[in-house]
Amino acid sequence: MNPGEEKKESKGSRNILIMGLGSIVIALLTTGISLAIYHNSGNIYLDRSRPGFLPDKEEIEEDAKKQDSDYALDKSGVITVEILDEYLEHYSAEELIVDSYNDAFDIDVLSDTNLGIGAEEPADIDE
Amino acid sequence: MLNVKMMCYNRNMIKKSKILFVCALLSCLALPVSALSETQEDVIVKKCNTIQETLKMVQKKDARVRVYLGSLYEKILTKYIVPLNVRLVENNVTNVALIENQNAFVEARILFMDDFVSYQRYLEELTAMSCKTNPQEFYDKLELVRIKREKMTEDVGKMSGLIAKQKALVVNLKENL
Repeated sequence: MNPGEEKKESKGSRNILIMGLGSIVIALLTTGISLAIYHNSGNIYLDRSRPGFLPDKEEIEEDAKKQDSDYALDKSGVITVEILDEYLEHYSAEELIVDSYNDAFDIDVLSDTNLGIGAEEPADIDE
Repeated sequence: MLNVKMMCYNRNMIKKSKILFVCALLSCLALPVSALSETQEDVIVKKCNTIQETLKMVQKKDARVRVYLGSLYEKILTKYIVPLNVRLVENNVTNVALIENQNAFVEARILFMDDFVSYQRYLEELTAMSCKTNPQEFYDKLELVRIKREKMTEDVGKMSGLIAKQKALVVNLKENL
């Protein structure tokens, strides 16, 4: 191998190294920007697939047991009393489910007593 | 004449600004209402880990509830409220109340999401705070989280109210067919 070829080869390996490092820097930069957008937009708080927020085994089983209604009112067609009766029947069922969550963000959950800061012992928070 | 008026105006302004200054001073003095007693501070420091655990559990439970409620609201809007209004338009039936309710529902749903993000932001900051080193600061933040949670309760109540209103409007529509 003559000296010219050797020089060419070392230059080539240096270029590959620069390209590799450059790719890593670009990947880190774009990932950082994406994570910043994900966090700042608030989407992180709406995402349950992040670590620590994944559904428990019991929750998955519970969800599987739930029978979800497939009903949806057709956007076209006539409006009759029968159609509205059916609509109201399904709608009332959904309303009942929504109403069962009315105390979902109960303020007492964060009370001094519940957190153990107050005089009384904290109550259990069911998960 | 104009000068006299200007003088009177200036005097009034000075008087008003003095009153405002006193009010501001009084409100500043009245601010630390959530000041902790020494015993409470000790309790927070002592039970710091338990409190943080409880807060994390609340955070997780809230995320679950948000997903359930969010999907229920979405379902009600896309499978019930919007299709009915489209169908009414197709049938040349004008019902302003139902359309107004749809708009209110969409707005309230966006508010629910935004308030949830804001609440979770505060709650996450709270869980990341050290209650051992600064219990007072921790408690102040907790008070803010409580306010945000209260707002969530209001939002859920508002959504339920709009869902109930939709039902009442459809019943009314059925009776007038």
